[in-house]
Parts: sequence; structure tokens; C-alpha cells
Amino acid sequence: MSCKKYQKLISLYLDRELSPSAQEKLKHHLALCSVCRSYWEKVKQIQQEVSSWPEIDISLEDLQEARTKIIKTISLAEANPPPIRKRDFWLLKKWLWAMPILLIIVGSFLLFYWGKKPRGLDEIEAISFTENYYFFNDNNENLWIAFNHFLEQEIMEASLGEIDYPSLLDYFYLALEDLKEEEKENLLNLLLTESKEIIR
Amino acid sequence: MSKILKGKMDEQDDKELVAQAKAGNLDSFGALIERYHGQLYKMISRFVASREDIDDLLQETWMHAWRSLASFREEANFYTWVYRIAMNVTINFLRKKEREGQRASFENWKKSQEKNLGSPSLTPRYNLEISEFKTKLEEALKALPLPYRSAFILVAQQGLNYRQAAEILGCSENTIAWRMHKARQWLQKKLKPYFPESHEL
Repeated sequence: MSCKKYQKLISLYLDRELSPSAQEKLKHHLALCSVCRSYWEKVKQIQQEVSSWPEIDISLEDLQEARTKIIKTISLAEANPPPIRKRDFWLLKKWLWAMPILLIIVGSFLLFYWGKKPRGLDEIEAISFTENYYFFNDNNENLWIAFNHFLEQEIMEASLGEIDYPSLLDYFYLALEDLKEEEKENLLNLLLTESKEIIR
Repeated sequence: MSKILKGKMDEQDDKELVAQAKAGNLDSFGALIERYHGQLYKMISRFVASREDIDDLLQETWMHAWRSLASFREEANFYTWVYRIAMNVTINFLRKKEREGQRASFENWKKSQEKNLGSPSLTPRYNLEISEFKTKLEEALKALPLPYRSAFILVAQQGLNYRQAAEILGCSENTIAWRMHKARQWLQKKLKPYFPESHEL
């Protein structure tokens, strides 16, 4: 056992909370360890000093006076309970009016926030969309292959129920913005028809 | 009469008095006040210097006890329960004081303690060295953080055991043991230069 632990035992001993067997161990250690012995002497001195502080007693007259005063205060408080303030009721009423307004504000904010939030993007980011985008740069013939690859390799592996398809297609569309208009239209036509079938 | 037997009788009386007080008997509550007011006074006076403040805190304690008497469980010890209320009231008061930054200086505290005791000097029988140690100890104790100070005063000064102190302070016995240990370490560290060399142990 380390000295730190023995110092904790010293504290328990001074508070009469140490078992007799632990007391024996402590005594044995104190006989051998000068550091703990010094600590013991100091904390014991503190203990003796604190215990010797004179008790501050109050006289019998003061005690009876205090009793009378407290009982009188209680009796008065019992006889005259504080009136229910009308103001409190009005304050409550004010809050009741404020509640629906507050709910509307919070509700509108949440609707706006959730409406704006591009849900599903996290999943798309996680499946490294740019890797698939690479396939579209070669020629138009590869577009459909790439799209299939994208769907099969990445999305189909993910839980379909958790993926927001409209957002996914939006993101897909944005990623293809660099393509020529004609290529984009062809691709989108393919996407629309094929993706509808896949989802169905 | 032995202390233990007396304690048991007190407990028995307490239960009767509490039951009567719960039924609205103010005389019984007055008897409880008379029984424990002095002990609560001693405890609070270790934290608060001014006599007026102590009286106010005691009044608040008893008012609170009266209002909460319905919530007092019969199997609990009334003494510990009311002690806990007094401790909470005192701690709240001290925290408020600390917040307001109006803590009385140590000198004022010492002066009022002397006034309360009705003696011009606390240490006629001590030599200068011990007197300085005593002063520094009081000073260090006052600077000890409140959770440690409250545990230390209840156990080391008031002589309560860990179980009673834990009930009063609303924590576990292990917490009390830890706080006592830490308080002693802290005090010992703070007082290192002031320990009288000649003090016999």
C-alpha cells in the first residue's frame, strides 16, 4: 500500500471510522515511515486544535426567547397566510396567450429548416459520388453504364429505405452540370425512365 | 444515564413530539425547538460570524421545518432531518454572501466570535506560537471550499460520524471520507509553516 493510501487511513482513524485490523496496519506503517509519521503528527495537531475550540452555547433565557419568537412568527404566518396574488394569475394568463404564438414561431422555423435541409446528402457523400462521376467524362455511351454502376455498386448496397431518392437525383443532376445540354437531356431521360423502374 | 440510552429516549420522545406537531400542535414543535436549537446554534456559528445572521438562519430553519413537517418520514431521525435543513439554509446563505462579495473579513469574523464568547481573548493559556497556529488554522478553514468545510466541521469539530454527516449533507459516506481526507491534506499544506515545533503529541 502506498503512503497516499495510508494518509487516507489516518483521516479515517482520526474520525473513528477505521477498523481495528486496518488500525494495526496503520500503526505498523507509521512506525516505519517517517513521511507518514510527520503527516500524522500534523493532522493530529489540527484535529486537537479544532476539537479544543470552545463551544458557543446560548443561555437558557436566550433559548426560551428564541422559542417564543419562532413560535410567534409561525402562529402569525399560520393566521395570515399570504394572499393569492391576482397578478400571478394574470401573468399566467399572459403566458397562456404567448404559448400558441411561441409554438407557431418554433413550428414555422422547424418546418422551414427541415424543408430546406438537403436530406440524404450525407449518405451520398459517404458513398463517394465523385468516383462514379469519373465514368461520365469519356463519352455518351458510358453514361448509362456508369449510372447502372452507381446504382448497383453503391446505392443498392446501402439500405434503400434510408435513401431519399429525389435528393439523390438532385445531387446527381448537379454533379453533371458540366456536361453539354444534349448529353444532359439524354442522360436525364434515361435516369427518369430507368430509376422509376428500379424503384418500382 | 448513559448517552446511548438518553439518545434512544430522545428519539422516542421526538417521534411523539413530531406526530403531535404534524397534527398542528405548536407546543410540541416548541419543545423540539428547545431541544435542538442550541445544537443548531453551535453548528451554524462555525460558519457564520454575526449573531444576528445566526438568529435569522435559525428562524428560517425552524420555519422551513414547520412547513415541511408533513414531508418528514416517521422512520427518519428528526435531529438529522432538522440539521440537514439548517445546513442547507446556512450553505445557501454563505453562497449568497459569496456572490454578493460581502463576505466579512477574517478579522471581523474573529472579533465577533470573541464577542459571542464574551471573552476579550480566546487564548490566555496558549503561547504566542500556538496562538498564531490557531489563528492560521481558523483562517485556512474559512478559505476551505464549502463542501469540504461543511464536512470537516460536522465531523472533526461537531463530532458527527460519517453516516450522520452524509445524511445531513445529502451525499454518500464515501464522499464524506474523501472530503475529510482532502480537507486534512489541504489544511496541512496551508499550515505547514505554522506548526509549533514544541507541540507535544
